[in-house]
Amino acid sequence: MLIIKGLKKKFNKNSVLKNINFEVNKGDRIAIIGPSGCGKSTLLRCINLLEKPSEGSIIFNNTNLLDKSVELNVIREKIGMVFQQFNLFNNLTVLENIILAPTKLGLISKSDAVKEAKKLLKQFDLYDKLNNYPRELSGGQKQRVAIIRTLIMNPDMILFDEPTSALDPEMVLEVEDLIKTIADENMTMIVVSHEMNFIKNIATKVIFMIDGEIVEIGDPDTIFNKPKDERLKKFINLTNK
Amino acid sequence: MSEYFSWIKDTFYYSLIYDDRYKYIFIGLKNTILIALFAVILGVVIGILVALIRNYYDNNKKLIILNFISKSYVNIIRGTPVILQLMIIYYVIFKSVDINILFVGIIAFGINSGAYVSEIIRAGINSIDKGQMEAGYSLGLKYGQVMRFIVLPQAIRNILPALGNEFITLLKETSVGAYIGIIELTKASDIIASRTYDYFFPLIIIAIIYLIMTLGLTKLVNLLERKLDNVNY
Ligand SMILES: Nc1ncnc2c1ncn2[C@@H]1O[C@H](COP(=O)(O)OP(=O)(O)O)[C@@H](O)[C@H]1O
Ligand SMILES: [Mg+2]
Repeated sequence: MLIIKGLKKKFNKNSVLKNINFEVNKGDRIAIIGPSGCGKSTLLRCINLLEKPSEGSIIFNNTNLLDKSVELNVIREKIGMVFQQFNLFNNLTVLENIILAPTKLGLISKSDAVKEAKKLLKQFDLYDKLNNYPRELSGGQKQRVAIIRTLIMNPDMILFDEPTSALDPEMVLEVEDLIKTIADENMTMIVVSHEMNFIKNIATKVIFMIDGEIVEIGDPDTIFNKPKDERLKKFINLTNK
Repeated sequence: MSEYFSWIKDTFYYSLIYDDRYKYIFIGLKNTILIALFAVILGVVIGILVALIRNYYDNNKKLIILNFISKSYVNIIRGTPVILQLMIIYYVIFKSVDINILFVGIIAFGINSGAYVSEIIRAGINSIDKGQMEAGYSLGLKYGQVMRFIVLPQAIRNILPALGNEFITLLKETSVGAYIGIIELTKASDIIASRTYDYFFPLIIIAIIYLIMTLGLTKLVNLLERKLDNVNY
């Protein structure tokens, strides 16, 4: 579904991603771990082209996203993104947040969008917040709405950038549970997270990055229990403390 | 004391009543408001256009030439006195055209205002967290849709009060129009004074009129600001 080859990203002279290569198949749930500043967010942002890669190729459903002829917005409809800071539209209610994109893009009629949004809000226990503005929600509620907002687009893949890092500890679980539910429905996803238990729980593959490079890729069991790289061993010991 | 009162009576009479001189004040007031109003409307149209071109360039690095023109326009307008701009437009650009002088004023002040308005709108747009735009893009929305449905509705809260202040500034600045012969408030008082050889009363009168307008508008802007603060987001 997604093939990343020789991906490099520089900010001015600063090399933030140095030759990233990996593949994502349908149904994969890839977790990306690594110390702060190693380029995890930049990597995710390159995949839906919120950042423009400096070199390399990103093949998504057989299209190279770096081709000049690619219509970015059409691609982005199919790649959902969930941000650390939620980024709900502050001027819109919960319902309006969810239906804005699918209706304005003409993907479904407004009444169908409302129906679908209400169904999702009911399913995830947010129906009573329908007409609230983001500032009236808790962090956990905001992030769940943000996830529903990407779900209604029917994406082929969702990118999560530290979806629970900005949350108070007691709200982490409600968001993780929601992501787990989506995972169980076989959604393809790439998740950047520092919550190791959560990763063990949902990931099919783990990528460990340092300094803009992938140091080790493997299944969760290998990465967490039989890590090869010394830096990975250290990193896992640190996060277990 | 009675001498003093009779002087006031006389100067009042000769400045305003005699020969219907108050009509100059009315004409002046009408023209001042007309120019300021239409100039700010023109300014807003130009300002939105320039702000969006520059913001689009900042985000996408496209529209390079339009962005260059827009940026130069803002720099030139902000870097030269308004009276000079007015004179260039009147004496150079509209030199050999038979055109209503009020219209020249509206064009000149509108072009001037557009530069300042564009900066107001740009600041308003930039005050909105970048994450709002990125979330819009990540859902497949295009630049225009992100601006229209997400960024501008939020930015307007910062923009509207600043636009009100821009209108107040403009209202005072139109006095420069006297220089090319527009009969606005300042020129009106000048005309009266040149008849009565007494500057005191006409000048005080128009000063009071300016003050009433600007203080009233300032109150309105403050009210608007408070109203916008209570919006539900
Ligand atoms: N827009 C940007 N401009 C310049 N440098 C950036 C920008 N975004 C990220 N960086 C730099 O890139 C590096 C990686 O950042 P990031 O991808 O956010 O790391 P992570 O998400 O792993 O913590 C950091 O050194 C950061 O300072
Ligand atoms: Mg990050």
